[in-house]
Amino acid sequence: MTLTTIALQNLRRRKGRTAFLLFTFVLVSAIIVCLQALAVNLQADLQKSLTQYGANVIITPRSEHLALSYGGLAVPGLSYEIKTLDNSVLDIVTRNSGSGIQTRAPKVIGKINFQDKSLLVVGVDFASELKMKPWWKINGKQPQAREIVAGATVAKQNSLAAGSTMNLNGLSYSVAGIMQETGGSEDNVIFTDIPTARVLTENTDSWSMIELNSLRPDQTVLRLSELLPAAKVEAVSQLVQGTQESVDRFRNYALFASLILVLIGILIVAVTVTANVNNRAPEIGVFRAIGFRKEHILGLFLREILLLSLSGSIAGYVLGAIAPPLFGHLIFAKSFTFHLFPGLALLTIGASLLLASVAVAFPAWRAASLDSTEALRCI
Amino acid sequence: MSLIKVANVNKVLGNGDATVEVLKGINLNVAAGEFLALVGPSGSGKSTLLSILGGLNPPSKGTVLIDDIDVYSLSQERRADFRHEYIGFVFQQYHLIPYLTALENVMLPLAITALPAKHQKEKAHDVLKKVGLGDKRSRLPNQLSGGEQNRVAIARSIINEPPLIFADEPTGSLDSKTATELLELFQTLNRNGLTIIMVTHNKDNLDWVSRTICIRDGRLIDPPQVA
Repeated sequence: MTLTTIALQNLRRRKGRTAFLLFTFVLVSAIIVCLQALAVNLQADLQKSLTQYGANVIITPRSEHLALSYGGLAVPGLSYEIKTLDNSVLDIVTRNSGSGIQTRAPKVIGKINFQDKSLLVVGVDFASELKMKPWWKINGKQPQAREIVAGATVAKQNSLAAGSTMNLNGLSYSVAGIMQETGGSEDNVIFTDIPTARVLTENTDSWSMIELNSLRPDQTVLRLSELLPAAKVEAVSQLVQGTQESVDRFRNYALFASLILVLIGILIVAVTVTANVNNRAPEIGVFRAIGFRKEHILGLFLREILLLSLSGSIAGYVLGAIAPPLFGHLIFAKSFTFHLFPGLALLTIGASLLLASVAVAFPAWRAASLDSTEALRCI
Repeated sequence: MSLIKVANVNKVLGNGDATVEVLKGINLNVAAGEFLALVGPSGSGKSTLLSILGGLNPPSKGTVLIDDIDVYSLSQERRADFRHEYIGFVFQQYHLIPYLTALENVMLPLAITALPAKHQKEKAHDVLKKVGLGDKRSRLPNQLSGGEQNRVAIARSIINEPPLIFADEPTGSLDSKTATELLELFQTLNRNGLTIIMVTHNKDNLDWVSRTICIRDGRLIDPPQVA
């Protein structure tokens, strides 16, 4: 028999109170971890977008409409007033390659109908595109004329596989491959080569957008903006600024909500343990009478709360970490990947233990300070 | 030789104008090996005197020496150590810890010692057997009768082998048969060398003790007059 045994038996046999406190620790830890995991995931997602585009530059038609989303970015577009970049834009870009442009990836993007659904078709030059996006992996082969590559979600929703066919605008197209899931907007589109895309979108001589990989993106933007007054030339970082602000706001909200939750958790634990001290005064009296010192009583209360805090925060961490991959898509309409977040795990468990100690400090001190005269009164 | 020496102990409760002198100039010597009954009517101060003797309740005036140690010159924490070493308590309502089994309740005083768990268990089991509850060690207090709970409380008070047992109305809520069994147990323990001071208001219990002292209105009455 040790103080830990006594603490454990108390927790084991006072099930209602134990369950309530454990639930508090689990809930607070789970919500905090979930919020932080979501914030980290969103930041990582944004970081991935930034990394994907690096210091790239995007040239799009000047338009008031923001109806097309591609690559996690809003691209002016196609819904009402179709504006495009004419061939001269690509010529000007090609002539100014000296301003640090490494790769040019012009695209033809349009909407087509497939089985009463609208699909986005993206015509790309796979050679230059794969230079910029080496993470694109195709199960199958790159498409040739009259062939397409389906994004992962499109393929799944339409039961497509390499070798199957799609009837698009009255013509049959062979599925050359399926693009592996990227977690980005690539999953929701079909890719093809540029000539095929021109046929499908009936866009014969212009471009929807041009992506550039530039060594000096700011200079490239300045230079091309002067040369292309009819186009919008932006560094990707400018485009993601809004998203970053949203992520920052979410992070701040998550932090604020976490702090509030911690305070509520401390209050719940402190109030519950204080009430518990009052109820256990006779028991404390017996402990004191048979020779338990203050430190023993303090140790008992600390052990009880730390055992609960430890198990609650571990369970809460696991729940909080698995919640975004399981339920994140319901709120954010995007998939989240499971991360272990070892730092967050340690922080959650450590903070939980610390805050439990803070919450229990006053009531435990009160219990320990119950002198033998008071104890006697309780007995 | 006296194990307990009480000199001029007074106890005043309350403060200001609302004070009550519960004990008035108590002088008492208890020899080692005595089985002493402290009797008196309700409110006479016998439980207060017992708590003062047990190091639980400092007197307003006077000294309490146990084994020549001035109990109330010790700090509160040293007094806790002293109680652990010298005194076993049996409370009127037994006050077993409700979430611990009979065996665990008996082991409770050993939880703050360095005795290994295995030895603690063996010792507690032996003591439980001694009080006739060897087969009920796994029961929680609410699964035991009043008499059985009392025996567990006695086992808890002697597990640490203290020289002194203080029992406050230990037969108060027991039927006569169970009360007799308990007193027999106390007598056996006393014959084995334990000094026992028992607060009681039951005259039948006095046949079992070696000495009776009576307290009335906060004073010891000599010779004892049992109410």
